[in-house]
Amino acid sequence: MLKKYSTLALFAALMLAFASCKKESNDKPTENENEEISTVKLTFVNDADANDKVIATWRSIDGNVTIDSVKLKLNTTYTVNTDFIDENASPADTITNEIREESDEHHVFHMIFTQADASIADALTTVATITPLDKDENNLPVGLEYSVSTKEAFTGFYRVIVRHQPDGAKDGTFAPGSTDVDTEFPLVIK
Amino acid sequence: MLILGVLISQSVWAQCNYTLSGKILDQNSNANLIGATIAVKETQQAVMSDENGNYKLDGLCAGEYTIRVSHIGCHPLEFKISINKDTRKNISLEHAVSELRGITVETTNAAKSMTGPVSEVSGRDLEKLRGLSLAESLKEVNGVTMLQTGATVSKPMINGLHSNRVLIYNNGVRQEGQQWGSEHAPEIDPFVANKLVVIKGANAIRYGGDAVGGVILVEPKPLTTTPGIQGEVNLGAFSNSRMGVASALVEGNFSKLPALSWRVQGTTRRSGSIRAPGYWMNNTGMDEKNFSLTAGWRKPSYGIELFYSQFNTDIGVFTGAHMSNRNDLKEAIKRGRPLEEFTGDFSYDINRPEQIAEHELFKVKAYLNTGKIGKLNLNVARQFNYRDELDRNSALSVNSLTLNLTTYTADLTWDHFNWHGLKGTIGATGMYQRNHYLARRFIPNYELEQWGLFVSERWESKDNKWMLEAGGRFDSRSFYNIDDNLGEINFPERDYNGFTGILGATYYVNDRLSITANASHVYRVPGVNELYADGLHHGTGLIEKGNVNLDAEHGWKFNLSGNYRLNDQLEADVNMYYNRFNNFIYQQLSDSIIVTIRGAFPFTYYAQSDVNMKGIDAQVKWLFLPRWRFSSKASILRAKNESIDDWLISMPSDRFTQELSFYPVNTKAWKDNFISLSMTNVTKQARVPFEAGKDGENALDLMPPPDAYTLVNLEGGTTHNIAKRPVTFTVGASNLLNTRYREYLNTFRYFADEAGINVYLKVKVPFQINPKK
Repeated sequence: MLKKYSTLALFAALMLAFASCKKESNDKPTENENEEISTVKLTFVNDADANDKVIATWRSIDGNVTIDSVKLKLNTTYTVNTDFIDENASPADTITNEIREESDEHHVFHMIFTQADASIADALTTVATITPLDKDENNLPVGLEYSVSTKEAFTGFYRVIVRHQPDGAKDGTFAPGSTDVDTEFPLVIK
Repeated sequence: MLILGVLISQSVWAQCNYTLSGKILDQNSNANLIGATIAVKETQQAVMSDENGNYKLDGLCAGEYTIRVSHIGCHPLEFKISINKDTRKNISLEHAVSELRGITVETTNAAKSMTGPVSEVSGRDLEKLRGLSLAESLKEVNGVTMLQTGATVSKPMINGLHSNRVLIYNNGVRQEGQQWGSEHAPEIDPFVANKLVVIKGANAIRYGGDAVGGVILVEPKPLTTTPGIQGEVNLGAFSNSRMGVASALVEGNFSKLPALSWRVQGTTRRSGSIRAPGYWMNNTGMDEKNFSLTAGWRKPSYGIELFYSQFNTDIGVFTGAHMSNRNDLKEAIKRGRPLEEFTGDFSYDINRPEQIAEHELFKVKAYLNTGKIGKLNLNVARQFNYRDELDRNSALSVNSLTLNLTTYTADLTWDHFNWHGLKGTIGATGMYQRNHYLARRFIPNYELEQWGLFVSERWESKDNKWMLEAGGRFDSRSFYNIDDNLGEINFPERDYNGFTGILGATYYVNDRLSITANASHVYRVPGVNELYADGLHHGTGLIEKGNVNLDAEHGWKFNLSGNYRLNDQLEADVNMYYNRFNNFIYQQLSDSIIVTIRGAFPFTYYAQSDVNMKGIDAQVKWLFLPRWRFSSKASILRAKNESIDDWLISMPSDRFTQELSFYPVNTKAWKDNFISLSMTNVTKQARVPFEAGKDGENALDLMPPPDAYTLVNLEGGTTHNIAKRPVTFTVGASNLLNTRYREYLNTFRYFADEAGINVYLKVKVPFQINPKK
């Protein structure tokens, strides 16, 4: 008699076990919320004349990419600040602060190339001297503020790359980590 | 007088070396019957059928004989037969209804008796592969290779075809789980199975018109009918990624309630960083936990079975492979070896980037024996697949993709045993599926409905020399409610309908040699990724764009195969195939670059083309000395993309394996001993499409195919009684020489080498708890 109940109990237990189904989990942050940077804004200010400003914006909204040209004067030193904005959100969200907060994990590079989408090793040093002005807690550059001194006339590309270098990988060079942002602006110096 | 005597004795001799051979089958399940007794009344000869159900009586003189065939649990069969030449006779025995207890009935599906190349991995061969993933367990089958994404993610590839073109049936249910992804490994625990079947040829369409590449059946053991509780524990340890595997299975049957049987099974696998020769690869660990429950109520005339399984895995993606954009990719390829930061110390930690996948299957199977004429089967199942692709953590975006896939399937089939000499199956199948994504959209939300009807018939000639097969299928599939979560995209409904069919024949030349030929027409509906993919597929570092206007693939498959078997001494198998597909869908890398905030990415799109694929899979096993066996395998494929008049991209190169095995004598303590040394030689894939790019290099690939390589493997095993249990040990080393190599079919070949030497030990402990008498 006991045996019969125990076998029935076992069968019932098995049936209950089957009833524990997995379902779609809807506990994800929010659907499709991709805090995507849509806009990179460069603001060049001439060190000698605060009214001489060059603003260039790289913008990608709904797959449409619009890129302003960067037009700089010859033999001039500029201080350039970079802003990263998500214009898909309303109001527009400034992502620059996130990079600042995690400055020990990010390094913003400004580089000049003759060709579009070139290899990093081809970055030019003769066209302008680019020096970072900000530092993170480990005394490594962050790159949100640079000093750019133009030296010769040039037509090419100005590239802004944000490298994400977490877990102590940041060492001041380009190699570690991976790219979060890589935007290229046409550059004219004359 | 002497001459006459010689003449007489000559003619008597000539008339007494006829053989009667064939197969013994279970009439109900079509399975081979092992250990049936076939006795000749007149001569008192008797033989037993072997593990394939084959029997052979030789030295028969010409004349009339009464043959009696018997097997436990079956009604004996007696018949008269006239012998005047070598004769073949297959015999089907009917189960004695009251005697199901205590017999393990091997239920095979129609696979075994189909024409065409069918390979099986079971028994000791499967035991040697325990602890490996499903694709790794299948690569021993000639013609099957792996499509890999690193060492922890692999999918089976049959003669160059994979993903949407290879169907996987998990315990009788078609596995549905984002299988379009080349980096989505099948979410199946091979420990659930005691047999893996690969159907390469035309006969695969019985399982689905879209089984263009073939079908893989993952088959568990039928529930036990022996009273008491029994089971086995499997343990494995592997050196390369310090992987530990443990799997246990307990099953039972109640002596007071013989119809009820149950099984509980569970597996856990845990591994850490994979080691290539010279360095560890960071974040390549894997954590897997699976379990399954089965309960069945089986009566001779009907039965019902419930099955539930869960598969959960967390797989780290090598940090050195996760590229952000084309420049990163170019730099990585130039380096030839991952950066120092990606090749740290060994660790079991799994961090982002990683893949998390869960698969749940609930199945109800019921059957009803419709008298002596057939058997009705009903399978109803629900599957839920969850896939989370977490990219690197970024302060700047969510960087992840989640897919929820729910699928309901139902199939109703009727196996009929004998209708004017025809034996076969008629069936109807249906499927409803719903996909929902979260976070980044790569494939949209959609719903899918599919139904199909098929007929598969077989006819055997009276002398059992010929077997003919014919089958036809109609499938209809619709995609609808295809949209995104933002209300911005809504694709129109798409309907596809297609007929597929197969014709095949097997001829048994004699009791050693058989030849098979078959042809089939296949039809495959494009996959959701091929139609609707849009955006960055982070796993591959490419931007993919689907094409909503793709037509279905259709084509022809032909195979010709031969099997020669001389007892245990010599076995040879050759399978030659020729496939021709129209509208073959493939991913094409273009020269275009898409500019995004993360930089420029190569753009790939889906194209259609006429393609032909031909090849040979051949193997020979030769027991050249009583305890020594040599076996050799070769697999060759030539695939052409006719529309561009060039080779087809991403096809496996030729591979050749030689193996030498020695079987030491059984001692009282050590039985089933073996040692084997094998060498696999994989050639460089020189047959790739070429289009000169800007710099003269091939614009159709990011890196030329890697060099040829040779791998050496050593393995040995034995069974030893410990505490009265026969414990089986398997010990071995794969990539024994720690060869440094890259494989063309592994997308990680751009970043890192394949795994180095892997030394392993596996133990199987069976146990039994019999009921008290």
